[in-house]
Amino acid sequence: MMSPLALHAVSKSFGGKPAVSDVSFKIEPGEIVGFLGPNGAGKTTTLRMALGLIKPDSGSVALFGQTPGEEAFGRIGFLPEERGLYKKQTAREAIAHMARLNGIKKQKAFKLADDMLDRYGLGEAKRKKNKDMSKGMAQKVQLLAAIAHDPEFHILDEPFSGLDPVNQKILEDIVREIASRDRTIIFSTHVMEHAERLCDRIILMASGRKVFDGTTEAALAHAPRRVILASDMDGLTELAAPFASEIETRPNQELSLTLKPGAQAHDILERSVAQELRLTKYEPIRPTLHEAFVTLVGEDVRKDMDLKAEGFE
Amino acid sequence: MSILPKVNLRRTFLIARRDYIGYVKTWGFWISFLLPFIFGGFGFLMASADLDLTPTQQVAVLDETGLHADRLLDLYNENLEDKAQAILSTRSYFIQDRDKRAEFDKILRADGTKAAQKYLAENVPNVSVDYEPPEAEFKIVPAPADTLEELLPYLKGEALLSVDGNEVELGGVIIFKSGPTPSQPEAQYWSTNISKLDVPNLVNHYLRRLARITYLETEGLNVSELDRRVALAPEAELFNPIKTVSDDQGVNASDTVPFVVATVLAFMLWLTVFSGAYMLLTSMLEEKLNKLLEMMLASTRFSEIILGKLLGVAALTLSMMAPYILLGIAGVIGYIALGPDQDVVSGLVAAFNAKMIIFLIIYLVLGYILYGAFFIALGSLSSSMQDAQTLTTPILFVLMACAAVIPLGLTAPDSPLLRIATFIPFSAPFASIVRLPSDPPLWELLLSTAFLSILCLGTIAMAGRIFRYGVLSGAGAGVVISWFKRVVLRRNA
Repeated sequence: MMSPLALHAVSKSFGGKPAVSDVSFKIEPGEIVGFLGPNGAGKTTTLRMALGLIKPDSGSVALFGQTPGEEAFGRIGFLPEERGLYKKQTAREAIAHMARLNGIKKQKAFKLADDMLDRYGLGEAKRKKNKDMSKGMAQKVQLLAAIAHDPEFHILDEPFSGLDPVNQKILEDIVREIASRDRTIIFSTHVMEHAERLCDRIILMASGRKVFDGTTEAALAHAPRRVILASDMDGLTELAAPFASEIETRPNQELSLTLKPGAQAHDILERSVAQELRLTKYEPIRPTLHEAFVTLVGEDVRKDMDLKAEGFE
Repeated sequence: MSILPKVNLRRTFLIARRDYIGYVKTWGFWISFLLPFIFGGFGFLMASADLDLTPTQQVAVLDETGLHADRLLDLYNENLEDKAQAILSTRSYFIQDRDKRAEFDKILRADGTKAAQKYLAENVPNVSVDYEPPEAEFKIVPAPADTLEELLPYLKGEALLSVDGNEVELGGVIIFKSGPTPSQPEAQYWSTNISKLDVPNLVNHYLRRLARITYLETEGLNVSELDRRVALAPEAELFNPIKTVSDDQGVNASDTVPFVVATVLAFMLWLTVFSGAYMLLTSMLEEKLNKLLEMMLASTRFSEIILGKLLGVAALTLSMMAPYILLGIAGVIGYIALGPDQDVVSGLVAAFNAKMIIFLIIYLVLGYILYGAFFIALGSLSSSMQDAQTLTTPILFVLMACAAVIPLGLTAPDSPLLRIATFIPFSAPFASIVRLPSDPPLWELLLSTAFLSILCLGTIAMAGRIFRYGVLSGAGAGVVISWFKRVVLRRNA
């Protein structure tokens, strides 16, 4: 099957300031890809280039194998970062209008709108004007408007931002439901937990550059591994020191160890048994994408990123 | 490669339809749409109710000289007769026979309303002689006392006087006292309503006339005879040497009506362009604030959004203007079918010729596109109404200047300014329309249309770039400067 999206060495500057530099990646059919990075990392600019809304200064973009444009109309569901609806339209009108723009006939579009609103718990809001809806409801209506025509490829820019935890969960369910129909999804976020829960693959951006592209497990492998240890006997620090690149003593006297490359948590456990040092706490910490990101980005890029965050997105 | 952008008609229609319906569902649209009917109905109700919104003021005259009260009353009645003549003179439009019309006008001027009514009844029985007499803004009544001191309580509202069985307030008192000569009396006007000037104006008129009459009479001239001769003085006849439709080349309503029609049409065109362009601005701004454009751009072309908006708002503007347009068309057709004044009828027929209709449509479309594209571009760069107002001020000045050109079509259709304005695309739609009755050379109209078309294409292309940039940027007035530096000057902003 044709790759829905392929970027090759894409760069874009605004007023001489680079927003995206030499970014390449390819999305395969049926994947759920998390497009991660902090504010100002170049995510929105990249997605806009992917859609053909702005042209890259260099490099190339292929959307369904072609230059982004009308051939992709109706095959894409795009939820932009900036949210909004026509205030005086009702929820069903808003969804049907977008569906019709994407080629669905009038009657079918309204039926789709009604069905989707019922399915996602917004049945009562069908004839409610958008201006009278809560932010969460309006955001869900806009997402439904973006996907009502059942596109092959979903591009969702920060779909979770501004939602409370309950609505974030509902949105996650919607994304899972889309994915269950073998649709391709790329969504950007700066909240790593969503990506951890939903994605097969993640692409990490920082300061306009791609810093990682791979499976979630591979990304997590870059995260420092940590163990929390505690003992009611002396000599815990000396016991753990050979395995740790960093040891932090917590106020409750527990040790937080960052393991050296190659060192394993169970080595510490074996050694404590051998030295008869009783452990009152042994807790290997599950690495997070956030930690992986911090490791992958590096100190210099993080500083640069802080400056850029004031810029483009 | 086509210079025109590709568009999908279905998507364009959907965008136009949404814009149209979005506005039609608002109260504002229906208020504007029904405004002529609301005003018409209100006017009809007011007329039916015969409400007196400006009650007639009662004015007394204290004439210490005994010379002026009656003469002032005569002048007052003459003024009322003049107003009545002005009202009755409109009957002239309903007299088909040109000679009878001229005779009626002459009798009305020379012999007054009663004689004119008699003439109508005897010679033009199908035209009504009845008319609503003019309402006097003040009425001269007998003074309830003989001195100012005694009249003061009436003037202050502490006492009422009886007029025709009704108790009413005394609005003012005119006092004539002896002056240096009988023809130069001292005149005073006492009233608590000092801003109401019609009474002192009448007194001043009386005093000036008295001075004139006195002088003429002392020179041995008969003032009444003078007035009669002035009333019977002939009027200048107008001729046009290039006129070919009449044997004597005499000028009448059939020659002047096309100029009036062209001026009205140019004004309507201006109003349509102005209101349409402004609606596009607000529509664009609403779209920008709704933040839906970016989402739409994943399934529609920029060109489809721009064209859809232009068409949607055009339909909306025409809908809002529909009552005026339909009433105008009905009025013109009605007058052409039933109108008694054949000069006006032939003038209307001449005014709405094929050339006028074709160029009116061309200029309506091009003018709307030109200004509409500007306003779309500026709307896409604005992030608030304040931004939009700041950015549109220069183009509004241009539109206002164009409006100032339109009256020249009536007062100076041969003005060089009007001719120059024909070739300036911004003013071309309005200047060309008002020049049409003067039959300007066709090449001038075609060249003007060509200039306008070229600027329209350029404006659409520019609006497309600005729109693309404005929609995806944070926008605001400052963005215009950075866009200009970056895109036009090719500098780093």
